[in-house]
Amino acid sequence: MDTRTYAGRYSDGKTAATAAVTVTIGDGIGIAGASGPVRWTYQHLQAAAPLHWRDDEVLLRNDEFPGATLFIADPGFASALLKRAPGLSPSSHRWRYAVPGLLITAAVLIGIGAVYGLGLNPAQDVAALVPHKLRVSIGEQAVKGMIGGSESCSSTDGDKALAKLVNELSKATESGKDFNVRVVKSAIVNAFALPGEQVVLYEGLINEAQSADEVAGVLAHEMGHGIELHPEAGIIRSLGLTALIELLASGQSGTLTNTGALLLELRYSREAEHQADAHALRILKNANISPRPFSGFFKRLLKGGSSDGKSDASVNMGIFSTHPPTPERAQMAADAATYPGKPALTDAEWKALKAICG
Amino acid sequence: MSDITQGPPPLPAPAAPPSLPVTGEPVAFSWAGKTWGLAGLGFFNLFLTIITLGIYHFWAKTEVRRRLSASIRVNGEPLEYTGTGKELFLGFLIVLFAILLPFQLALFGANLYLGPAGGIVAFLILPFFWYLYGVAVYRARRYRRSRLRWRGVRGALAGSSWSYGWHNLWTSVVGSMTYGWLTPWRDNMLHRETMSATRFGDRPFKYLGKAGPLYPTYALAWVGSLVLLLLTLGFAAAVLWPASQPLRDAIAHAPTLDNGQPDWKSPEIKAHWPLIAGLIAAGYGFLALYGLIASVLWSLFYAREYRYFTGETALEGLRFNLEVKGWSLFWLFFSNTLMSLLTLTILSPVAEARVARYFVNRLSSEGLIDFAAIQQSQARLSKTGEGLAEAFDVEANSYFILSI
Repeated sequence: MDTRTYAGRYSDGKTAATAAVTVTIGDGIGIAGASGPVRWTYQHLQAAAPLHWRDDEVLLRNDEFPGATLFIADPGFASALLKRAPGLSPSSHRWRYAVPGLLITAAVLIGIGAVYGLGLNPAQDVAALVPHKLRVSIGEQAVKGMIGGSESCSSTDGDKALAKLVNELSKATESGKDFNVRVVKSAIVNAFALPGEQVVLYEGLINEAQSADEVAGVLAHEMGHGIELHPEAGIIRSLGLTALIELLASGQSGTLTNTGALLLELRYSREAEHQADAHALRILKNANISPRPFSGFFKRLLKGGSSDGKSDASVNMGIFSTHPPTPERAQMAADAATYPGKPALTDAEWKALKAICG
Repeated sequence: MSDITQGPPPLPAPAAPPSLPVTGEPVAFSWAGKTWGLAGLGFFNLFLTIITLGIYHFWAKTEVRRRLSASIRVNGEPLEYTGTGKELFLGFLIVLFAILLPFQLALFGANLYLGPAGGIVAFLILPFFWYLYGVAVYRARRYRRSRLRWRGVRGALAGSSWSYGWHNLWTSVVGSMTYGWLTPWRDNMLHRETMSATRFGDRPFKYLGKAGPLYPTYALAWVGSLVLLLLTLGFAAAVLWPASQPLRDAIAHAPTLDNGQPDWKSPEIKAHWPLIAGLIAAGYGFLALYGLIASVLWSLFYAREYRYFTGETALEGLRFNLEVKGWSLFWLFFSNTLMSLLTLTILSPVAEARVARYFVNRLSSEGLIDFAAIQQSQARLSKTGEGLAEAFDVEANSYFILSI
């Protein structure tokens, strides 16, 4: 039983005045002063800073008496108090501090792990909530942004051929969605799916293809992306990531994205590519178009040459950067060629499509 | 060891006007903390911040503030910082979702629907964000002042953050048009707005200063650094121009490319690449030297501001005094910057403590104050803190003691 008394100053927190008091450590902290004795229990005790047993001065508060403070400038007090109230020591303070932080980290890591492990796709779920009209509107704007200054191609016969191809494939998607395909005059060998069932097809790809069936395969693949809402999900994911980075950098990054660059730089994950490929093969089957040419198209690109000697740059910048062709994908398409199929377009229509850009 | 004295007996002052306090005590400030002892905290904070992917930052900041405040003694009793990391974190989350995210979406939409013209939206929103920055500064101050206590009595910042934001914005805009000559007037005006709204308990601080006394030192710093710049440029030219003679000769005689430019890769010029590197390094060296000396000049002005602002501040019967000199202020910030850089900010709590110690040791007061007459603040406490300020990176490089 500690019968030592300590000199302290007590403030009731109602004014800035203090009174001299004597403090004892026993069953709680006893404070004896002019206005009668007060007892502070250990569980309600708080220290302004973690107590070290060597501290010369201690400042205490009590959450039962808000605003009240007790200041003891006596060297022995800290060590005596710590024996009775170990919760005020730096280690328990650190533990109390570190635990929430570590719990949050654990929660975040578990959350990320769950998203990946369980194949959850929150961005896609959010994308599904966006109304269709808005998605189409965003997509149309995105197309404008992506095309930039390049012209859209159009010719009477080419348009007819394209429309026939697109309608055939759209019906075959069995998704009830109507796709809108635009051909753009550019040597880039690529095609993009954009939000709202918009598809951009570059002239370079049409020129690189050796038959309408190859183009059909590429279009079916892009439609697969559209059905799965990959473009929309990608944008949402990117916005979400930016917000997350802001949070982690505690508001110090302040980055804002440029849409056009954003959409061009979307790299579809292997998972997304796989889903789009599966849709492509299904669509081709429904439309009775053979996937063998589609597979051949991949194989040609993999070999690195282009059929009419165009520079590799346009090939590399296009299809390799956003839709990396892999032997697996080529093989998957080849394996699906279990039926003969019929050509997607007649020779005349294919010629017209090739000439759509004049 | 503290030495708390009761105030002197009531002064017999029949000639004094009735408004002068006749009871009260003097106030002395002291620094009772370790500075280098915070090195461990710095390391601990950095480590936890990294493994929690940055989220611990709010708690790290709070812990540093708590320790600094506990080291500041008024009449031997410490200040208390009662803010929590959770408040800072929540404040930031609120701003993230209520302001930053909508702004991102708006910018995204503008970019999408207006194309390059969408940049106009960013341009238009800029003044709005500039305004919000001022609001953020004020709100952050309000948070910090309301979370500081002495003897259990809280501080407070009354006034309106919205009006401060506006003042901050328009004086900033006009100030930029005056090549900085509006600065002393602006600093004085904003300081008055903030200081006279500050309370200890229910008592307001009074600020009695004007902009005029600040101008002589400002002019010294402004003109001085301009003259210094011209001198540096002149000196640099005088040294570097002749030194570059061999290089210029080589360029004159070097083979030219098809477009008329000299061939930088030709062996004649390549031989002089060490000289080129040397010239560039010397150029940076001159700039750095200018920067250093100009900083000293400007430190003279900042020291003047701190001294003047503090000297014109009153609380009840107290007047304050700050003995800050330009040269020592410069050295303090310079050495801190070096320290922080070299240790990758692990020692930033130590830097904070050094600054706090510097100012507290130079702070004193005269007059008497009756503490019993100061009531607890009744201002409403906000539950969250500084979200805007975090989002805008307000006073990120400012020390806690200076941004209270």
